[in-house]
Amino acid sequence: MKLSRMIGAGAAVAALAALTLVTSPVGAEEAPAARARIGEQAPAFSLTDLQGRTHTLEQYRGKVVVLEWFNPDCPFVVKHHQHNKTMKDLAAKYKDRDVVWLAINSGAAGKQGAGQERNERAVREFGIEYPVLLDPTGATGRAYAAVTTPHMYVIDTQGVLRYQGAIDDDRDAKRVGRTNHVAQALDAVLGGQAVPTAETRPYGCSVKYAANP
Amino acid sequence: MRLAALSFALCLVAGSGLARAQDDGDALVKARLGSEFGAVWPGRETTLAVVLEVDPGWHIYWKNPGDAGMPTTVRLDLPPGLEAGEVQWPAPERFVHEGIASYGYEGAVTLLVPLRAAADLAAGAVTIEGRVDWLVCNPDGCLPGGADVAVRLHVATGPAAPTPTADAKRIAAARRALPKPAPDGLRAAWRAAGRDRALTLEVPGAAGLVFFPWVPEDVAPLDMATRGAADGPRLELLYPKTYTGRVAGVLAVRRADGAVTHHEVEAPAPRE
Repeated sequence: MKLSRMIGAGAAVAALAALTLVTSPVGAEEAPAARARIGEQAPAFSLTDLQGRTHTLEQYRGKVVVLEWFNPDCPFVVKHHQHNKTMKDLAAKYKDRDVVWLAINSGAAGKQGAGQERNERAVREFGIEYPVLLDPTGATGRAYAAVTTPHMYVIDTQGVLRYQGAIDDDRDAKRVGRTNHVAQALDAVLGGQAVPTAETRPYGCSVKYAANP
Repeated sequence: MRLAALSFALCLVAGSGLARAQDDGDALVKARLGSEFGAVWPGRETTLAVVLEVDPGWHIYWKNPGDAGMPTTVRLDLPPGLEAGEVQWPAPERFVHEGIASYGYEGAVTLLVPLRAAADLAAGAVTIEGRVDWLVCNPDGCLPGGADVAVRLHVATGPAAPTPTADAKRIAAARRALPKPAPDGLRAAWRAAGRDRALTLEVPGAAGLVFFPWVPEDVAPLDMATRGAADGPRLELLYPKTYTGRVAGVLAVRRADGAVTHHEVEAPAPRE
């Protein structure tokens, strides 16, 4: 119950910010942008994977958590799951170092790449070996301000957000970048260092959110 | 032009034979390469046009796609003696779906490419081939697509008056619609805004503003779905405090009578 209240509060702040802007654009900074901020506690979530198991951020306290916003029919997700095995290889590489990798699909029912069946098939087709969580209401996606698939987040053992943004530095639909921002962030976090590039601009398809209630 | 149209048609046929399921995005956009004139003149500049027609309900993207999407890209394979300038983009439209703002085009759009012929370009004919790639999206999903395009042009030898092609009018209209210089009275001011940094753009007398950011390319303004457009003469953009560079983009200015003009605008870096 604590969880749903927190997410609800986030949505209310976003709505307030929009309202303030319409009436008085100049005063808008009093309502800070509702988004997950680097160096602060990452928003809590409780989501169910394709096998019906519940995953919360809280349960992974003590481990480093990578969140990957996911839509199997988005060409940019296909780039990193089919044309290249960027995600699978990275998840495997860091698995033994107590890094938990979770994919989250915030697509609403009926939208591209959404739903239990489509994601089960994607797990088989892509050979994904980590949980895919469904977030059909989009509440978790909105709490993190996830805008693209993929959109990546790295959370440290204390639940603090340490990286958010793109998986790598090539925004093309096919080419893979030279620098993998998530690998760089994981190396820094695991090594007790500051993340050199803590925020980048994510790229990909828009998250196919449900219409705002 | 007939030759160019023919070679384009051949490319499409050849391409469709190899199409896989995920290449449906090819068919949602019709692309061809056109030219202002049927010829080029050694030592002179003319204009090529990438003419795109997007199926109803779908859109493709501007050079900055916004929160999501992918820029439409144009690659030209130019024979020796020809040089192309940067693509000139018409002002985009803004699409906002469930809090995500993106910038692009619905329907027909013409991208312009300046083409310069070397003074010693040999007489005869030249074929310019190219590749246009896009991501085409509707609110429910996105598909990648692309097309091979080509145009064949004569190399004119004499000073004969240029004969415009069927695309000349379209090109002239696209040129008129390119963003203009900054609007009169534009004011840009930075200030601290809590843990962020705010940039106010103001055009006195405007009834509404929409901003399409271009510089920087690697840092996007925050909350563009709510902040990127406003009624009235003032727009306030929000950047992370860590961004300390200049800002540039296209500003759409709506006047009280409903007329909209588009302008290239730039704000210098904030003073620390």
